[in-house]
Formats: sequence, C-alpha cells, structure tokens
Amino acid sequence: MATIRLEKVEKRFGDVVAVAGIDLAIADGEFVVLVGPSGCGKSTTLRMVAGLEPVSGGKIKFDQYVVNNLTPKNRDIAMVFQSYALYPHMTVFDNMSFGLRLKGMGRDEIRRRVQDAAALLNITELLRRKPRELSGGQRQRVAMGRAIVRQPKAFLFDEPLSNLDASLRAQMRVEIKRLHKRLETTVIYVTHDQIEAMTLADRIVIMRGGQIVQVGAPMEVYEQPVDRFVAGFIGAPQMNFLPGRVVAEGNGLAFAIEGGILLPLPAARDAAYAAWRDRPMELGVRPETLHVGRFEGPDAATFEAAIDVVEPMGNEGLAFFQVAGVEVAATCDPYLRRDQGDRVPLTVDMARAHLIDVETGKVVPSGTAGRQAGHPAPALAAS
Amino acid sequence: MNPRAALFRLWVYGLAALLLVICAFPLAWMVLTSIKPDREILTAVPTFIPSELTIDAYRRLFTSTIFATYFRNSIIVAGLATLLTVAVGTLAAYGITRFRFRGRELISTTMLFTYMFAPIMIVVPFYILMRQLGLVNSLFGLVLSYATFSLPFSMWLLRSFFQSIPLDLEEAAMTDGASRPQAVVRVIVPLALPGVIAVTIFTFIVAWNDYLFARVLISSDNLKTLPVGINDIYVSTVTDWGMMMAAGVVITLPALIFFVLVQRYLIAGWGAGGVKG
Ligand SMILES: Nc1ncnc2c1ncn2[C@@H]1O[C@H](COP(=O)(O)OP(=O)(O)OP(=O)(O)O)[C@@H](O)[C@H]1O
Ligand SMILES: [Mg+2]
Repeated sequence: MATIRLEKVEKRFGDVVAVAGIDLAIADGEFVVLVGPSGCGKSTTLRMVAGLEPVSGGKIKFDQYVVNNLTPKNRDIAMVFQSYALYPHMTVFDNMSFGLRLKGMGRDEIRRRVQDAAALLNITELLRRKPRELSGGQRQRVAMGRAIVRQPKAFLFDEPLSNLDASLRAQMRVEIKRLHKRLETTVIYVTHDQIEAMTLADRIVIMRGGQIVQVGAPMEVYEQPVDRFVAGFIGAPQMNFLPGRVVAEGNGLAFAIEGGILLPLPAARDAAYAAWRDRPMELGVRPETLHVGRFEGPDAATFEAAIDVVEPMGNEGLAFFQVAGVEVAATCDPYLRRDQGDRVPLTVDMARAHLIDVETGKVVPSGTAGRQAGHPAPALAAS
Repeated sequence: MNPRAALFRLWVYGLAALLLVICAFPLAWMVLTSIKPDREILTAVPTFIPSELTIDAYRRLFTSTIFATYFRNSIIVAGLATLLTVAVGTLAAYGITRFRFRGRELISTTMLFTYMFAPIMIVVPFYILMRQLGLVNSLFGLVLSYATFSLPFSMWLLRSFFQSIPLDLEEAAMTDGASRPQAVVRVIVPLALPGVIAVTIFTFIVAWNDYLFARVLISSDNLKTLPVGINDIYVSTVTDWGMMMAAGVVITLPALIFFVLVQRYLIAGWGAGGVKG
C-alpha cells in the first residue's frame, strides 16, 4: 500500500526521448490506467516505476521516499507482464511462491498464501502443473496469482490481457476489477485498449509522444477531452470530426459545415465560442450523440446526408455517411433499411458536441462542460 | 512395407552396423587385451576371446607405475578447468547478452576467431606467458590453459542459449524480489542448463584428452596428467601391451561415466511454455 508520485520523470534512450518529463500523483489504493498509442512511453513509464529501467531525470516517490536508486527487489512492487513471464522450469506453485521463498518466509505461511490466492483466482487444481501445460487464460491467472501472494505495495500491469481472445479478455477485466475492490492495492495498469481503460480505471492517464495529454476519471475524459487526440482516442466507435467554422446566425452562433450545412450552437456557449468565429474549426461529434432520424431536444440540430452503409450491431446500428469529404458514423435503428445514396435526416445533440481549433488541435472550453455526473443527457424525442 | 523400402532399410542398417564395428572394434580389442594373459597378447594366431581372464595388467599398472597420481592429476585439472570455464563462461555470456557496452558486438563476433589458430601454434607463446607468471610445471597453470582454450567456444555456445531466454523472465524474477545474481542462478541458468551441460562436457573432454599443453608445461613426473604419463610409460619400459591397454580402459571410463550421467540433462524442450506461445 503506497502512494506513487512521479515528478518530472524523464527517459531517454540515446537520442530517443521515450518519456518527456511527466508529473503524476497516484493515491493509495487507486487504480490508474495509462493509455496511448503504441510507442508513447507507457511501458517505459511503468518499467521506471518498477525499477527495471533507470530514470534519465526526475524523481519517483513511493509515499514520501524517493526510490530512484532502489533495485526492483527493494521496491516491493509486483509486475504482471504481457508475456506472463512464468518460469517455465517451475510448477505453478513454485512460480507463485518464488518471491516468498526468496524472502525466506516459512513453509506454512507460503502454502497458506498460495492456496488463498489460488482459490481467489480459481487455479487451485493447476498448482502442480508446469506453465507449458496451461492455456493462455490460465497462465494469465497464474501470473496474477504470483503478484497477489506477495502482497506488494503496488501492482504494475503491462497490457496483461492483450494476448487473450475477446471474450476471455472481457471476463478477466471483470476479475481484475473485482480483485482490486477486494485487495485495495494501488494499481498502475498499461493498455492501449481504451475499453479496458474506461472500465477499469479510477483515473485514466492519456499519453502521447512521451507526454501526458490528460488525466481524469473515465467519464471526465470521455465528456471533456482536452484535445482532438484524446477526443478521438477515447470512445468507440471513434468521434466524428466535421470541418467547418463558427458563424453568426440570427442572435446566436452556428457551426457551418463545409458544403452549406448550418448547425445552431447552444446559446449557453455563445460567450465561450464568440472569439473563435471565422477560423478553420472542427466539430467533434460522437456517433452516440448523432442519430439517424429527426428528433426534438433543447439543443438538437438536424441536417441531411446521403447514407453510405449500415452496420447492424445487435442492439444498435451504425450508419456511415460522407459529409464534407469526411466519413461520419451515426447511431441508427439496427433494422434500418436504406439503399446506398438515400438521403436521410441526422440529428446532433449539440450540447454534447465539441469545438476544436484545427490549428492547435485543442478543444475550446465550452463553459458548460458537456454532461455531468448524475445529469443524464437530455433525451431526444422523436418528432 | 514394400520390397524396395525393405531393401533400403537393409542397406541403412548394414551400413550402420559396419560403422559400429569399425568404431567399436578397437575399443573391444583394448578391453579384451587388457584382461588377457600376457602370453596371448603377441601370438601368431591372435585369440579374440581370452582363454582365461586376468586382472594382472591392472595390478601392474597401479603398482609398478604412479598411474594413480596421473589419474588424480587429470581429475583435478579437468574438474577445475570445467568449473572455471562454466563459471566464467556463464558470467561472460550473461554480460554479453544483457548489457550494452563498448566493444560488445566486436567481442561476440570475434570470439570464435581464436579457433583459427591450431593449439600447436599458441603453445609456445603460452609457455612463455606461463613462465613469466611462474605457472610452468604447476597444475594450476594447466587449469588456466584449458580454461583459456575452451572459454571462447563455451561463451559462444552459452550466448546463444542466453539470447533465447526472454528478458521478461529475468525481469519478472527481479520484480519478484530477486537480486540480479539470484535471478541468474535461479531462473537463467536452469533454463540454459542444456547449454551449461554441453559446455561442461566439452571442457572436460578437452582437458581430459589434452596431450600437447601438459607435455609442454609439465616436467615433474608427479604432476603429469594421464595422456602424458601413459605416453611416458610406453617410452620408458619394455612395452607392456597388457598394461597399456589397461591404462586405456581406465582413462576411458571416467569420461564415459561422466557423459552418461550428464547427457540425460541434455534433453531439449525445457524452455517451452513460460512465456506466451
Ligand atoms: N530499450 C530501448 N532502447 C531504445 N529505445 C527504446 C527502448 N525501449 C523503448 N524505446 C523507445 O521508447 C519509446 C516508448 O516505448 P514504450 O515501450 O514505452 O512504448 P509503449 O507506449 O509501451 O508502446 P506499446 O503500446 O507498443 O507497448 C518508443 O519510441 C520506443 O521505441
Ligand atoms: Mg508497451
């Protein structure tokens, strides 16, 4: 149990800057997920916390102690690797008890702890097997078991689920969350899967090019991304970006999509957006706030576009359009039957759209901050 | 099985049997001669199966020569050279595969060049070196020579074993609370065991069979190793063929026993399964 603090932590490999001076404070018992595209420095950050990689600059603190110069052995953390890294020459029991045996713990205590962890993870009947006799999911559990028995200060996970198939991954995700609820140990979890990040994290840390772009609770980074990168990275299917500009319209403002579509912006945002008129901007609209059909709502705006394809996905469908030269996805009735090229109405919930400055990629603060916890999105009513 | 395949098999087995006879006959002859009575060794019509069995030749070997001393020297020298080579070779191979340092690639690629020189070419410089170190005519000098000679190949072999062991395993061990030496001893070496054993066998046999270095570096009779010692028995007395063959048998045995003991650890396929795959 410990708080973990990174202060201006930096890592260079020769000329490559893998981590460019990041600051992050992780509370005791918190589950923090590092996400970002490949090569953004997630693993390197984790490995510096583990002590497997020396830092090139800055400080790493566990509680109030600077651990920069401690070897992994003395940091008392447990790490779960993407490859699982089980010792092939040892049985599952020996794998799990390896760290305890190194500490010189008594046999009974070791047995008890391994049994407990094995029961927790449902691998009791595998204890005598060697890793090569296990399936991928079982190996994954053993790797977690090996971490749990040590009762470390913190768990570090580096893409632990990326070698599992989709259904197993979903199942393990739930188990990891349950384990964390129960053990209440600090976790740093690296993934490039934004669904894992959303579902597991207390806080998500989004990285890019060795820097932290945004830190926040899952719904916070979903609702209020700071820039186009975060907006596009978090949320699936991906956010649509419609090119256009802010123009005066009647008493207020509207977003004019290239090609002549005019979407009135919420009046509450007039003050915030006024300064951004007549510059190249993008409107970020999530597919789940863009519906095929004509709906009414306080900030609903409707336009028409020609349908490209429809993908039924069970409870919902996704319809794709070409608008102003970009592909746009919208939610639709999964039973929607339309021919390619049919023009259909599309309704945007403008209160949940984001205005992005094309030049800097930053999201313009709206002053009204999307949807808040406990305040459901205003329902759109069919008209 | 069709006739052609059967014929082919017959051929293969026939050839294998022929090879076996060619290899095994001298050995069998050595063993049989060592237990024949003297009068049967040099005869116009050789006997294959001795008419009576005797261990006289062995008794003479141990009583009329200091064979036991040679034997002891050989064991000491080969044993220590093997230990030294395995210890140094393991550390060197570990260093070369796990750390980056100036000249690392150069060392890895030129290691085997040392084998372009026949031992006979380096034995004189070696003698001079050993004389300067004051190690001529000592078993320790021999140990160093054999270790020097077998290290490059051993390092090269171990390097490829170490390279095949995922770094993750070692890092897992270290985050599990192992120091680096503990991780090496408990995780890396067990996984490289087939390589370590191959190196052990190789070094032991190099040291056990060497004649050249022992001949040049050792002058006292009581420090000679088996190959040199036996050669001197042969030169110094009226040739006692029974005793020579007995010596041959006694020399072969330890190497044979060692090999049989150790080879079962050489089974491949240990490494599979720890890392995803
Ligand atoms: N040992 C190393 N030597 C040189 N460069 C390295 C080394 N390790 C990582 N890098 C570089 O540092 C950067 C960050 O790598 P890192 O492994 O942290 O990325 P990541 O975010 O974990 O990516 P992924 O999602 O692909 O695992 C990359 O550009 C990578 O090439
Ligand atoms: Mg990574």
